[in-house]
Amino acid sequence: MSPVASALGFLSGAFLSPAFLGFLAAIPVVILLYLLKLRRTEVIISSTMLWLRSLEDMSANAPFQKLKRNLLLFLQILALLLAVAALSRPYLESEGAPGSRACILIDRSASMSAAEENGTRLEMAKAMATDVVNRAVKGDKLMLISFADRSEVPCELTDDLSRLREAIASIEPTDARTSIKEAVQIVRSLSPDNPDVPSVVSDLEVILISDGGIEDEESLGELTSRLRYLKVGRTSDNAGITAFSVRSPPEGRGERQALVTVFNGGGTTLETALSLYAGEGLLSVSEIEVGPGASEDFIYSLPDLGVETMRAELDVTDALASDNAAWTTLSPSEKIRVLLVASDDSTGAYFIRRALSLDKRVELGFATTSNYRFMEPGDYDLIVFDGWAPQTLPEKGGMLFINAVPPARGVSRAGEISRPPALAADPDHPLTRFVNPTNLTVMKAMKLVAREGSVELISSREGPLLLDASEGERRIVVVAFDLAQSDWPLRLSFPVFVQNLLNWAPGESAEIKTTLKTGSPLPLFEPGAESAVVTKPDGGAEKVVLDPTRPVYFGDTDMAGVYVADYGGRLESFAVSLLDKNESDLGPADSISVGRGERAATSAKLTRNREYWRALLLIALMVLAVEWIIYARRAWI
Amino acid sequence: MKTRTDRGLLDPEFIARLERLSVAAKKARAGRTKGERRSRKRGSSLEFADYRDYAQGDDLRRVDWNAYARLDSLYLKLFEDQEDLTLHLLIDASASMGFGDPTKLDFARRLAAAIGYVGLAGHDRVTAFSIQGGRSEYMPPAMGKRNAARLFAFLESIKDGGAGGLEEGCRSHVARTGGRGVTVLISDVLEEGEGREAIKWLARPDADVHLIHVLAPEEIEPGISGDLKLIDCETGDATEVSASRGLLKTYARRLEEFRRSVRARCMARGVGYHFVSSGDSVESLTLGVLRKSGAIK
Repeated sequence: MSPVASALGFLSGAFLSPAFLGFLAAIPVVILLYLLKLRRTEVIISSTMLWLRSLEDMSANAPFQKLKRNLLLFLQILALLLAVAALSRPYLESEGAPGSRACILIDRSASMSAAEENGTRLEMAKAMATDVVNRAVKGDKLMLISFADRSEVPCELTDDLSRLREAIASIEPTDARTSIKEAVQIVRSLSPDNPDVPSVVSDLEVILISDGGIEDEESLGELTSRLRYLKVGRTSDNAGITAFSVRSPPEGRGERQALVTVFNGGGTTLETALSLYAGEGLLSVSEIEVGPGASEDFIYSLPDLGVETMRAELDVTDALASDNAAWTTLSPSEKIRVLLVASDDSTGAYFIRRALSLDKRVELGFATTSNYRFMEPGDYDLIVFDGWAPQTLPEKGGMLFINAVPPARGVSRAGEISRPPALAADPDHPLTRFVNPTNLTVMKAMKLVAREGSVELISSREGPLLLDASEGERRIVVVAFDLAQSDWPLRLSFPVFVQNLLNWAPGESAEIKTTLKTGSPLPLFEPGAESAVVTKPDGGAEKVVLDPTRPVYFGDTDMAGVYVADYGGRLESFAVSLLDKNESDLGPADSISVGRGERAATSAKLTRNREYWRALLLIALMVLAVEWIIYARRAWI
Repeated sequence: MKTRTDRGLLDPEFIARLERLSVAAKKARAGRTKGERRSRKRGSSLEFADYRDYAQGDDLRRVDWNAYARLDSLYLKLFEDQEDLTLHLLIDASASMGFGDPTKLDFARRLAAAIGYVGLAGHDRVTAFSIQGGRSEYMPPAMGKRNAARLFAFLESIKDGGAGGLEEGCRSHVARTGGRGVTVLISDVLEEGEGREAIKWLARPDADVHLIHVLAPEEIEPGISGDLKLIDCETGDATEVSASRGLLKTYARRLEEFRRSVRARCMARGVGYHFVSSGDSVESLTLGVLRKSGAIK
């Protein structure tokens, strides 16, 4: 860092608007004005002889006289310095109260429910906030924002301190994630740099009371206000379930596979029991061991009991209880609808049909090239075109072209390749994961020319053998050869590829409902139903008016657990779990990054920046007055 | 004549009072007649002055025979010469004299007129000389009240202007007139050297010299304020001052030193020094200060 930059850095620590120090450049102007100003009135007198002698006398003590001569100039420069300093808004830190305009941001995310020595973190945060309010002096205005995954304003900017205290007391804990973006937007809407609103609050100080672990803490960088971060909490001793999903494995009928990820934030190895429940019935209990600071995945095979909700529970007593259990719902209707369109002479269709039917989820439909036009492509998650391609592609969905060129932009055929040796496959792509193309023999293949942006999944020297040519919502895969002209269907990599394809082709929509995170809205929709009653995990019920044409979202999901929507007969369960490593990792952050740099946690003792520009301005005014008096009295030369 | 002199220089009543005065000449007369050199104008006086021993060649007609009869030795009876006195009026008319209200020059004119009238009325020869750098004016000697108008006209014709030249003026005056008699120099002496050379030229053993040092009230107590650029009217030199109490105090001290210095030079040469302000009245000055100091009796 250059000396200038470091000097500026130093200055920015003492001034709120160091940019105004640029006005120091006005000093030469004052000197110039001073030189110009002394255009003396010319007076003709009889003789200057005596005056010259007098001046000689006066300048006998010259250094002091020179100083006096420039006294006015010095005073002017002093006044200017003071004025510039005042403009730059210097401040002194003094312990005690918040700034005269402050916004208190209280984190009420799941991690704030962690138990500390003196109650939960949220209680500590509320006590700190109350302390801030108690230290406010008359005329100070404060506002309160509580935030978890969403933000609320329990109390807008007010000088009514008792209302503030009540608002602080009313903040309730949530099991939600920590997102500060909304809070930042609220604060920014108050800031004077908001072009939409006339300057509401200038010089707003933001006091962030949190334990860190804010997912989107970089959005704090958008704040122009001063930010003070008060750290809450000390312990990091917590174990939690950070991922929980259950799905049907492709092979094996009537089985379910559960994946549980357990995170241990404590300093010692965690040895405890992990229980899985289906509905209220205990399915399994197993001893697990997770090293300090580590995450471990545990996979269980469970019988399919046909129940909708499952629960994983850790048998631990730690700082944060809400992450010791996680819920998930199973979707029995989880089906992958596949349409196989094969030309009549295709021999490879047999292999693909065999591979597809291995997966229990697959609902396979058939069409010939001639009756394809009567089908509804939107009904299918995946359409396999074997040796034939339609004139137009479906709008969206997965498509597999075998030995056919899709009428997609940029993919064209440029001759044939004979006996191309397959080179390596892309191991990171979801389609070719665990697919080993070595020793794959292909008699002949199309030579494909692909546009930029498509991905060669299996390549040969002369062109791709397997190509991902997806565009937009169309997920297009092209196999450049007839399956019957190769030994691929006989190899292990083929069913793996088909399985990958089945998981990949429908996109992310398949998993959407299984596990919701706390704070995520629940989509409620039932054709014909006008209202639904949602029962929350704590037993509370809420009636929701539905829209018969589109889903209505239910947002009050700050609590982890199972939410049951009763559509007047049909019940739908939603599992809402914390499942957030940010929250389970309780160790409070000592600093938060605010985009432009780190902001270290301030001690619980609040300091207040007392600006003294008024005093400076007053002194500048007094200096100016003195300057004027001296000038008026002409008491010095 | 009274009506003619009434034109601003002197008022008639004052003139009437002036007629009773005469110009005092101490050195001028004593020096002349006591000397052993023959005077061109002797014997006309009947006023006894002194005795001295007879020396060979002395006019026997002047031997005091009565004294010889009593004391048996020859003594010469000396009589005062009734020589007409020459009054030189030297008026500094440099540009600096044009300052003040009334101007110092105006004041000098009237003062010169008053003194000159005293001289004319006392049947002294009166000459006037305006000193101006480069172009000095000379009024040839005049005697008798009837020449008062001529004197006044000359005085009124003097215009201020030019720079300095006080020393040169005095020297040329002495060169022209010999400088004997009574010389009255009216000047502000505002130039480097403080009139030392001028006084040196004027001061002679056989001359009564008076310097009337006239300064304007503005010069004695300047009422300046603010940041000023003072420009010397004679030299054009500019001096930047910012008026202040301290400066004015210093100025007052410097002025006093200046006056003392001029006075000291005058004393050293036996020149009468009279400091006047152009704001004073000529009448009271002539009848008061000059009379008291013995310049006029």
